[in-house]
Amino acid sequence: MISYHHKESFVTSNEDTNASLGGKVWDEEPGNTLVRRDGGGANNQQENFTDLQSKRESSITAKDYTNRVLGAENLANLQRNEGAENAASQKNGYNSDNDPVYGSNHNHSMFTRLDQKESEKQPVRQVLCSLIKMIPINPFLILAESDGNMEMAALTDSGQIANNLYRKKNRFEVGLTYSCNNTWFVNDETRNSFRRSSLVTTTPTYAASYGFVVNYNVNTRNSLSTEFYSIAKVKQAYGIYMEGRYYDKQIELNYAKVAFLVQRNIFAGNDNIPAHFNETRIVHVGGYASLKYVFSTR
Amino acid sequence: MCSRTMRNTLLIAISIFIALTFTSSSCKKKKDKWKLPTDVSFRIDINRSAGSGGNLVFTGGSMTFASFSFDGDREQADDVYFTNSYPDGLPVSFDAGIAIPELEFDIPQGTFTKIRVSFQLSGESEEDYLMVSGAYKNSVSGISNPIIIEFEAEEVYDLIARDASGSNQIILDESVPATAVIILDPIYWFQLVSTSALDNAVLEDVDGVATILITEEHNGNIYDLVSDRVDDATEVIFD
Repeated sequence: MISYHHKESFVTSNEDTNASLGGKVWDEEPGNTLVRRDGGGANNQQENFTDLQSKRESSITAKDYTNRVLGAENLANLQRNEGAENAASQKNGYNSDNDPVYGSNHNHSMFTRLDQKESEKQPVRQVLCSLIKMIPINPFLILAESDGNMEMAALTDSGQIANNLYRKKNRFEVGLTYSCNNTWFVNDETRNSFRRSSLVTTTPTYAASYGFVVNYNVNTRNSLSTEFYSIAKVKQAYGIYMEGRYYDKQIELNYAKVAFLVQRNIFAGNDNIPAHFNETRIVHVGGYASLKYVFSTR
Repeated sequence: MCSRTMRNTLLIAISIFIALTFTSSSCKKKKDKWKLPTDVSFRIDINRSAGSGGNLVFTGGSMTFASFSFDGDREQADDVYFTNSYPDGLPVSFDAGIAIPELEFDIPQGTFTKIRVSFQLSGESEEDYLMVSGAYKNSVSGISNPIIIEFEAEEVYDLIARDASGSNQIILDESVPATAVIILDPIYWFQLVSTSALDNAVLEDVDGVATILITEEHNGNIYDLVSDRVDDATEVIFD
């Protein structure tokens, strides 16, 4: 059985992050348990992964199985036969299943030709091993090809990557902010407009505000934020009757606003939310308190 | 699976938001129905039919408003009331064909069970508040002379509007502009004046024309009879 667990915390820099992305490799622990470890790079990963595949096909698993199923006497006969087969396979480079034999556990060369001289065999083996090392393994391709194989899909684990990237890279954020709001003045006139029988009408108004924002991300879920709007507006439009005439009246309030916010990402850490959704669609929920200084009204 | 569920949830939430927005907008339109304005134009005219056996007819005149008030009782929503004052006076001519911009109003639509229109006459000290002009043909000599009536009293008119059929219930629809005509009736004012009083009235020279001038100073006996009825028989009729 193949199992998976993460052994180390993530890295701190972009370069290290990229390296570790390629460095998630499979290794073998006693008991044929596969454990992912952080390796030194893509080449190392490839090498270990190849070793693993060859080990899975080795006789260790077969021995355990046959020992339990066949019994000691039959096992002894089987071992004798295997010994003969191994000797033959070392000769022609193929095992008893007619598969080519290769990997670090076997000392004999791969794909050897009968007419090759002994001095020519070593370079060919080195070339083949180098070629195998050069084959990249893209975890996302594995995910696509695995067709729902959870063991292979675990290799990708992009959500964890995103969380760690977010945590390490975006502790502080500074940027511009713009908001377009549907604004209301809740005064007597507005309240009067809510009465069906009144003569006052309110119409939806939208006002834009500009400024900059500074965020401090406490963790992936919570952040503190300060927004300073140097240009903030609130508008309210009315339809009113005055002296027998119907007028469109608009109140506009121009001011500067400082807002302190506590934000919480309600999707962070939720296993039910897809990682890409969590990464790219953050919903900030919460109230805010603001200090307003009125510049002008008209 | 989770992604699909999440996407469906988002789609449902967005759909609900859009539905609520449109529902709210629709409700607001229904709610604001009785707040929509109807264009109502007030015009001034006089009774131009002949009186005193066909010898007296009025053809024009003018008056000066000091104020104008509208007070309507509405079935569907709040009543409508407003008063406009004209400190410098608002001179208007008696002609139903002439629109008076100062007397064009926006009045919320609805069914009005009663509309009361009030106005007060005013004017500068040297000018007449109300002047009506016409012609009178002497029943004895057959000579026709201009007739002019001038009032300087700050008369107040308080009128109940009616429609063309005589009903006090007036329906205003925001898609149908309405015209209301205030009609003064000088023929009614002269009903108490006898034919002989008019035949024997003193003629005054007005701009070189012999004219029956009726003021406090001229033909006072006729003025006293007429002035008591000036604010009577005036009507406001919505078309």
